[in-house]
Amino acid sequence: MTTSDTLRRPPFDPELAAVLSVIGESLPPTLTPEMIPLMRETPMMLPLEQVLEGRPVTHDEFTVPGYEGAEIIVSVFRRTDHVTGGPAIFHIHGGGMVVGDRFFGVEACIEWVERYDAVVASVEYRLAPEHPDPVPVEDCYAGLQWFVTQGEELGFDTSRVVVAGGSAGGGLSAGVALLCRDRGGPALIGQFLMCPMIDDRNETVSSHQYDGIGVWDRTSNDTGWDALLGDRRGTDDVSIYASPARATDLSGLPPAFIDVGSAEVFRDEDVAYATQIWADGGVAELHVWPGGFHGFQMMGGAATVARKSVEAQLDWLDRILGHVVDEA
Amino acid sequence: MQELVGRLTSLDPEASETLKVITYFDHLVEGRVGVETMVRGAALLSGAVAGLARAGRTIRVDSSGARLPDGGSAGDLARPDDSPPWPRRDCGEGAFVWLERTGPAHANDAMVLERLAHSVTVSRPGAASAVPGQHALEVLLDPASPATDRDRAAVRLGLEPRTLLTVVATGRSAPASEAQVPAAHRPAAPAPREPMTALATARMATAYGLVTALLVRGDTVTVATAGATADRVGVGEAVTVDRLPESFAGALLALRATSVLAPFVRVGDLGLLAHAVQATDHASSPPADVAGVERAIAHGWSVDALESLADAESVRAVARAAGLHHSTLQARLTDLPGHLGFDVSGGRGRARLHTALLVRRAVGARFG
Repeated sequence: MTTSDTLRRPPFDPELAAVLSVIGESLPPTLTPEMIPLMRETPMMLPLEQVLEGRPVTHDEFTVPGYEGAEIIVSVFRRTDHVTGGPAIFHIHGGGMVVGDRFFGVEACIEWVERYDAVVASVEYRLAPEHPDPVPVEDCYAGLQWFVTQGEELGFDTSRVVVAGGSAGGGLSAGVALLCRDRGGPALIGQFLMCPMIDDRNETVSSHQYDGIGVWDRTSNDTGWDALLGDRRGTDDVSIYASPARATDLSGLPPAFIDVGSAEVFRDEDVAYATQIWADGGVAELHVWPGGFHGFQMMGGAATVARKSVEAQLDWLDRILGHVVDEA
Repeated sequence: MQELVGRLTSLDPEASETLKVITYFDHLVEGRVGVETMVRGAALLSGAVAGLARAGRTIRVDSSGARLPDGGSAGDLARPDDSPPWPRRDCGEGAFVWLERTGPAHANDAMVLERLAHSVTVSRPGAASAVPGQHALEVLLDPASPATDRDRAAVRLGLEPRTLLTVVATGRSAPASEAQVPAAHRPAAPAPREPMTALATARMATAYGLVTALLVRGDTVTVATAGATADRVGVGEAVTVDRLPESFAGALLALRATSVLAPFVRVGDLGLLAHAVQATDHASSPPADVAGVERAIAHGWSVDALESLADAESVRAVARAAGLHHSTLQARLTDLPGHLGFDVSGGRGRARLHTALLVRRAVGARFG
């Protein structure tokens, strides 16, 4: 790839560019390994009490077995007037495999609880580099296995579970869906992948187009994957569960929702994932939002393109969860 | 600014965030967005409902970005009966914008409203004439810009040929330069007394690092209100639009002349000292007086102590700045002329020292 190729890239949506210009100071485009400790100390969300305040949602925490029997925490959110027998969503947070906790992205989870009366779980998987692959994806899978044993206890229909996550959480969700398929694990009715991080090779056109600019740039992506995979990164010794883009057969998976911005590193790997699902006869809905930087839905909340993309997400969930309700 | 890993909600009600407001709207104008997006920007930044009335139509947007019913002319229907009209600003041809703030105004309300009005004004059909690929202000500040580009950029910013304009250069001094000054000796940043209503801003790469240029209408910049992002401010001469590169050059020179103790400098106040800096910029080696200051520093004199000596403060005050007992200082003063190469006891000597310190500062200035 020549230099002139790498400098050609879709511009940010003007409204998102304005948002980025203002938030840029507190959010450098590049995350390097040395910055991981500082990022972990930076509060990423409003305090949970503040998010839940005035909303008819309860929060319970469970300590459950993770990978190889380690203890991990799963948070469960339910409506205070919850009616038994509805759907459930198993949420996996983002943060590049190296930062974040189960409350990162919880605002969307609360929205799903309220809107669908869904039981939503969010798993505290262990992070790289302290816990390299396969710990993160196996913790998530173990958390999901525990969750589906609790259908009666928590009051949901275990045949109507969606796995959902954004960014690294999207990649882990895709990995968990593959594990469910290959191990005969819980049957999922959907995989909800928001700008998922799914390719350790980091060699697509879009992965070169956003370096030192935007949010979660090429170098940040190197940081995340290096932490997760160490020396194995880029070799043949990387599983499809860690790096789902490496899967050559995406048949037999639940319907996928995939969205991504056109102005981010993950664009091309996410488009390719949807394309492979279709090639293998599967169901996928793909949205590429013009001018979206990574995480634009969360950060550019009021911008038109961000609001429209969230509407599209809910629209898909309406169909995946709503239609099942009607047919049940 | 309430920021959680880059989440933009609304600006801090109490802290002035002038530069953020300006930058936000500059991007919208640059991206040629529609007026609803501009109104939404104002609502988002202020956390209050913002509105625009133009050509018999009303747009109202709340801080989550959602369109609201038109709320009557100028949002009057949304206003409690006994409260004063919403703060508003005209934006030409009978159009105006407003902010539906209940309770006391927030620190950035006036600036948000001013920038919204400006953005709507310059986006009027016919007014918009984009200079592709470059910010209009950058074009105007660059002496190498072709005349046609300059004309378009001036139209873009709504500048009349005879309007007096001033360029203000702001920057954050690079930490290395004067970090050793104890916090107690540092004056508070210039307090924002009135919003500096910049017409445009640009980030300029200079030989002294990245600085922010602000274009201000008029010839009186009374105080720096560049917000939390700048701790140094230099003000150029007031000029007409065709001479903006000169104003920027002056602003940059003034910025280089700032110090911890004098963070706000007008180039006009430097007088002949400005020429001393310019002469040094063109010289191949540092002037002998600057080399003398370096020698004194190498022999244990602090910049602070030399500054207070140049300002003809008492030996006791100088001793305080140097962190020495005044009798010790007296002894060391006898060695100073040897280092400097001139005597500082008289008015001329102090003037030379003052000039040498300023030139040294300007030459070593780094921003970013």
